[in-house]
Amino acid sequence: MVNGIHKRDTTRRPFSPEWMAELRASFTVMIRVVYAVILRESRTRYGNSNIGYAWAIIDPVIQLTVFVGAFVLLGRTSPVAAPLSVFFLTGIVPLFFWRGVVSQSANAVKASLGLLSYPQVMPSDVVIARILLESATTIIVFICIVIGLALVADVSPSFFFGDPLEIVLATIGLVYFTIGCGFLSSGLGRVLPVWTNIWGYMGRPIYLLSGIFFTLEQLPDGARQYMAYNPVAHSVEWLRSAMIPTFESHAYNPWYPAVFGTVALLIGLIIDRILLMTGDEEIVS
Amino acid sequence: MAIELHNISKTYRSRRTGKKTVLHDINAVFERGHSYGILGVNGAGKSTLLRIISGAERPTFGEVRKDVSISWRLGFTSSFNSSLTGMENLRFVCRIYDADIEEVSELVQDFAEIGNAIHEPVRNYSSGMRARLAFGLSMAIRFQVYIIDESISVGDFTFQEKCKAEFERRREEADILLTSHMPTMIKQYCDRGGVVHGGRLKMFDDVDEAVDYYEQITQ
Repeated sequence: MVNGIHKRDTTRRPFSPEWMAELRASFTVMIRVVYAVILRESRTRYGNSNIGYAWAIIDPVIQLTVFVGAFVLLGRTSPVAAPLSVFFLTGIVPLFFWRGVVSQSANAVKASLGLLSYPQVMPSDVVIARILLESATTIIVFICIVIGLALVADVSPSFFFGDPLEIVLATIGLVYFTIGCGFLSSGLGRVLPVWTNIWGYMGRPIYLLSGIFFTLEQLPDGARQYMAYNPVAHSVEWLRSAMIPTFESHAYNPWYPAVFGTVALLIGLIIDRILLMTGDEEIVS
Repeated sequence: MAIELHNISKTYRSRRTGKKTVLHDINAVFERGHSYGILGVNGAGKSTLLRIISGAERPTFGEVRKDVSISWRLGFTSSFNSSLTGMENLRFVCRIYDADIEEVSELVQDFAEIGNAIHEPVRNYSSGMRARLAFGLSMAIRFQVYIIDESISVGDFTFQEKCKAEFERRREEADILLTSHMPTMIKQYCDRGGVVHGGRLKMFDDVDEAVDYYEQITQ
């Protein structure tokens, strides 16, 4: 046994060849597991609904139509020098993405307890798989709606591609922030069963306060000051500013969602680690 | 080395009943080439020990080291997603174990006798069908150690005979780790043994010694 322990210490020394090999091996397993979970989740994501995946695109289209219709009826104009549909879509899509990831992560582990009995499936794999699936869905939905708008409403796709480099940066910012929130949400969901209820109540206010109906730029200073505590609003504003060629906002801080996401990610990972170390996760027997 | 348990303890926390330590500081080595039987009365912690060894559950303290592939508990079906079909569940398991989907599905369909039902959602299966699918899968994915909690076979009588025959074939290459409260079963399948008693595990190099000890403490 002394030999065994001694051997183990050398193989586990960080950055030794054995350690690297072990790391590579576990990374390979993780990719395999995440891929398998994505395929599995893609079949169960929309449950028994017959329209299934179509809902992922119908939902934002309905919201877009309602908002555009309401603004037109109220005789209000777009706060940016671009069609209303462009204004709303650039708000709805990132918000849906963020909200979708947080909701999906909140019950990711609880819904996958059966899977976790396979030793190679880790709780974080399920969260990662759900985030990737949500990302892929969002990209496809966005492209479909942009094409749809071009065909149906004659809205030029160029309205969505203002500054390519800035779009890439803003997207990375949004995704990073969202991953952090996803891990935090999954951690909270694992230790506080009431988290899913709390999140349910938070949904509506966040919806109103994240800048779908307005830009931070157009708000009076007093209101903006409070709104600026919401990291989602910063991320939406940044993305909008990057995408819409005729809109340039100075009212957001790209570092705020990044820092918020980092803190959320760390808390989420720490909760995950503690639960793994103590083995306190509920199990399916 | 095959499987090593180092200082394994398991404590369950429950809001209603408080803390309960099921396993105390367990150390054991399960060597390749031997089959082990673990005896213990109901509630002694046998199943918890098996779940920890198979990796389905994590210990509160301690570490499991292994360099062999270990099956899930034979006939264990809770890991199936009931809204997916048998085939989709099979593909998932093949993917995470890096097994050939084509080959495994052929073997399982041949063995499990569930016919076209493999394309039905698992929620429509009877418990026997689920168990047959799980059993077939664990035979088709070639594990080096099979974990068995009490029962070696599933399904009705004829299928049980088939399970035992298939299992005998697999045993030529694979070892087993079996728990039971019946010494006869352990003697039939294992050459080494252990007894779980009061949350502690005592290992014996000979299965008969383990049975003697078990009979002594259960008198």
